[in-house]
Amino acid sequence: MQNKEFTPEESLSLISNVIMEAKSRFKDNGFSFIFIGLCSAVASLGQFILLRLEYYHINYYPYFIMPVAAAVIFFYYRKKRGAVKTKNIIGSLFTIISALMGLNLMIAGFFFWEKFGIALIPFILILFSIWSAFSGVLIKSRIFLISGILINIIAYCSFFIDKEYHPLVLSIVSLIGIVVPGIRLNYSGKANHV
Amino acid sequence: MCQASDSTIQVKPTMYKNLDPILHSQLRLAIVSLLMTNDEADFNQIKEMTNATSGNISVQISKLHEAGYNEVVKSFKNNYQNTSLSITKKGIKAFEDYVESLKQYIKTNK
Repeated sequence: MQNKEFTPEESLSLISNVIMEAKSRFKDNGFSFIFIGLCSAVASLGQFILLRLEYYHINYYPYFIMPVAAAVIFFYYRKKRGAVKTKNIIGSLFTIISALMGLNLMIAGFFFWEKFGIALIPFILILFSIWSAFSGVLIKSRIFLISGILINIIAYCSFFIDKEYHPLVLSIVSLIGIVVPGIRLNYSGKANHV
Repeated sequence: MCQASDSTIQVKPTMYKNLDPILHSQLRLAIVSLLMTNDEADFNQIKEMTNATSGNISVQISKLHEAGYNEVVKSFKNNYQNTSLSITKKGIKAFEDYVESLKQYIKTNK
């Protein structure tokens, strides 16, 4: 963009383009990905360890940190969005998709785990893949898009793995597929501060 | 057309005489349009939106500030310097008048 003479029509066009672009642009610092990814990794690793130690009756207890994690994310983003006085449609989409994903995870995991059976963790992985891929498109992050696609593939591959290793798969995927891209997103945001 | 001299900033008259010369500049207009949309914008957002160089953006922000159209707050965020801008009431009025003038120009020249 240069400082040159331009016509009134070009001026109006510039104004509307900038305003439209500003309303559709959305940036995230990766906090939700890092936090949810870490909580998921810890919970699923905890489940794996409990199953290996044959504590079958309490193997799902580590997942009780997930509703707490969801609450933390909710309040964090409410405070953050409260400081921004612009309605951003992309931001709203991101919030809705993340909320829907979290809600479905909780319902499936806590109330329908028996019905899901062997498919529970692949289902969780599919939800993670959709969240990651969609976020990648919304925030224009290639790493999240690729991660989402890979997690989707791993979700179906996990049907060929023994069920007792599913929590371990979820833990590793959470760390590599969600936390690492989140850290990268957070770092790239800080590196650009002027 | 704007030239920066040693101590003053001179604005040459343009062919669109009734248009605010401070706003009738691509980069300054883009910055002000962004500030009209967001209550606050930081330097990095402006740089991403306009693809202009940091030096050029700094100069234009100074010109807008001298005209009283924006406020600049420099702070530290997570140990990194952060420059954030917001539009003033004078800037909002100037922008609204500028848009009105544009519409009049376009209407007259049709």
